[in-house]
Amino acid sequence: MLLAPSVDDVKAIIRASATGVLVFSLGIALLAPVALVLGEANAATALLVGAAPAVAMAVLGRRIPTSSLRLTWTRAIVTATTTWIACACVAAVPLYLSGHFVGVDAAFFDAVSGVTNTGHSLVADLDHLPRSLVLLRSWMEVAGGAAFLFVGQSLLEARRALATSLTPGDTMGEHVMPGTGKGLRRTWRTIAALGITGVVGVGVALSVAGVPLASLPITTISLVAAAATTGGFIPNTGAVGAYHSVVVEFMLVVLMLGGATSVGVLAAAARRQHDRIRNDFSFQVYVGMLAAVLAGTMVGLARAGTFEAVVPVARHGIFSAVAAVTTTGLSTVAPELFISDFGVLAPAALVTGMAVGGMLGSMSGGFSTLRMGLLAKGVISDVRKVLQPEGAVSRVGWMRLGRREVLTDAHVRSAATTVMLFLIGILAGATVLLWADGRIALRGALLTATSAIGNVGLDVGVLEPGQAWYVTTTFTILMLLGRLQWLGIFAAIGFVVAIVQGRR
Amino acid sequence: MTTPRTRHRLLIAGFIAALAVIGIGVQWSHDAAPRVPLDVVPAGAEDPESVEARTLTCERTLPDAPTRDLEEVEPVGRVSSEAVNSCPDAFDGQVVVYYGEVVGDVLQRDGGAWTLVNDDAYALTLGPLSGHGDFEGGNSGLAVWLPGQLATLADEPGNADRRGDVLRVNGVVRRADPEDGGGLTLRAIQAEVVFEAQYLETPVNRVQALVAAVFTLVAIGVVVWDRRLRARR
Repeated sequence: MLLAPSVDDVKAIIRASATGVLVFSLGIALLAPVALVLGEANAATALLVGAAPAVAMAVLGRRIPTSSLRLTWTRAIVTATTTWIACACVAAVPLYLSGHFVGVDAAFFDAVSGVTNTGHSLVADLDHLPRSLVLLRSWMEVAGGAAFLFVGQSLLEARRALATSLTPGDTMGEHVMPGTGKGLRRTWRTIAALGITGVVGVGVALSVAGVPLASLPITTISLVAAAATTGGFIPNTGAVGAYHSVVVEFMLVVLMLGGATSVGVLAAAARRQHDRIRNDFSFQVYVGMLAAVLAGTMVGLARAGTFEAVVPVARHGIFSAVAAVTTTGLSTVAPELFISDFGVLAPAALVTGMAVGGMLGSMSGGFSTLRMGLLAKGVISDVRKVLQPEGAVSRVGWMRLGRREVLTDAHVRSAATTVMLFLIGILAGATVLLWADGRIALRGALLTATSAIGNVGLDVGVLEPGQAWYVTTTFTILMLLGRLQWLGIFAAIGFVVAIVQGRR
Repeated sequence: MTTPRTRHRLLIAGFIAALAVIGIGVQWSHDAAPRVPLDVVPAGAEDPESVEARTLTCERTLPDAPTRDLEEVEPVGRVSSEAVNSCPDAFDGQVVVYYGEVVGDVLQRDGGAWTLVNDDAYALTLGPLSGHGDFEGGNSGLAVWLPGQLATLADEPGNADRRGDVLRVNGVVRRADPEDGGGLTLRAIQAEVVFEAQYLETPVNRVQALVAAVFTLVAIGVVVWDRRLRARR
């Protein structure tokens, strides 16, 4: 039986969402004067057409009276979903007005890609895109990444308020941000540290690489946002390889790894709690996954004969593997070369890394290394049960930042459900692509679908401007499902159904 | 005195009406975008894409296959970036002719410069999208190394304001260029500017400016009203 949510629930969700939309829209509005300074008058007015009504509606939304603003679990998760979708709608307006998108669906696709830190793009003529819209894309990545961390915080608080146990399958970051004030400060510090490191490091590296001073600030901002938030949007068709610099690639690797490492682990690293990090199960799986994907990619590149020397194999292999596991989706080569020049094994290793993704409690996508690890532990536990004498009790545990947890069936079930939903999403996305265009190879379709649902954004030339509306819609939904870990979308749909059909 | 139910209905109706007004404003602005297309670049009319290049296969060269010296390599004529990216192995070491627009940043290095040279429709035929609004897929290009004095040719790369210099490059395709850490490159032997950079003269979209002004004024009005109400409390 469904219970209809109260009017107060709806009001509280609108108010909380309005706050998120207000911050996001003010950020877009602030880009308008920047566009004017850059001499892009039409982009400036496009930014205002998108941001101004959103600011007005958000301010009005925050005035809706409600008796309780308490963020329960349901309210928090529905708020997260509605905020993400509303922000994407706001960002889609200036993108659509730029004239670089075939239709509204393509602009909305790009907006969702931006706020979900995916990096896919259906922009036509990217290399002539106004610079203020490149900055808009970077703002979407930063806002989306920061919101992902803060929403995790809110959900954690909601779970605590309801005094229920936390399971690793519950959305994200269950252990990374204890205590709102402390956790928020820690999250801010993480974002600031990544941002400052990135701007200084990448800026210097780009300058040495020969990027002219006039374009250095915007190029630096867009690359840092793309790597540190795992957003992966690069404002040129040549990808990272267009900078022809191993130092730039090294800096981006550092930022990608930072963006895909949980805030808890980064905070422990800052406090020099190296033992805690070493013993943290999620971190161990993360490192193991990185090593496995790296090995698979490098062996694959060597076997395929893509590169004849060790240095290029290592350079492209390391960058591609890190970009896949951190779900950043950046590449050092033109995306088509993943299919035409990387052989079979290397792309297979990369797809596996993209599906698993980075750590829970970070900005990365995928179904997460912790879930992968818990599934493996569940299998080991079952095998042990079979081998042990009847009546024997065995407890399987794992460490998370200094605390020992015991594996329960709920953990394994939750992880298995998420992984299964991811796989269904990949199959659904690939099927739609194959249906839409018979020339697309199965390998390319699977890679693109995995890339979308894992919020990776690595495209191999499959998703291009002018896609059929049902392809853009399917992949827009996949990106949202991936970012909100399915539960958010299901909860939002259930909430709407409960409003219509629920018992009062 | 209105009941809560009526108030809620009015709120929802107001919200839908606001969305409709915003939607009309956005679509009106979009449709009113002025277009001033650039000239079609007659680049490469005398160099149609080579038949020989199209007949090359995409089979990968095995790592132990004998390597060829540059002197042995026969020119294959004009190629497109799409063909080279789809079939890099077939063009490895070949001397080719390539036409394209310099875009993005020109990276000056010792002994030359790296450029990104696009040969898609926005580069060669139609010009930047904002000038005409006709969609012709995405961008496509090659990384081109311009050695020595050739680096000075690419002094006006394309961006949102202009179509950059269009070059005719005669060079060697390197599938895994050892001097670029294994990147796919075109190393220019000769290059010339066949079409100078051309600036877009896109006028301001007046309808969009009007809609933006109205929306901004409304937003400022709502914010001021909200602040006054808060100050009263």
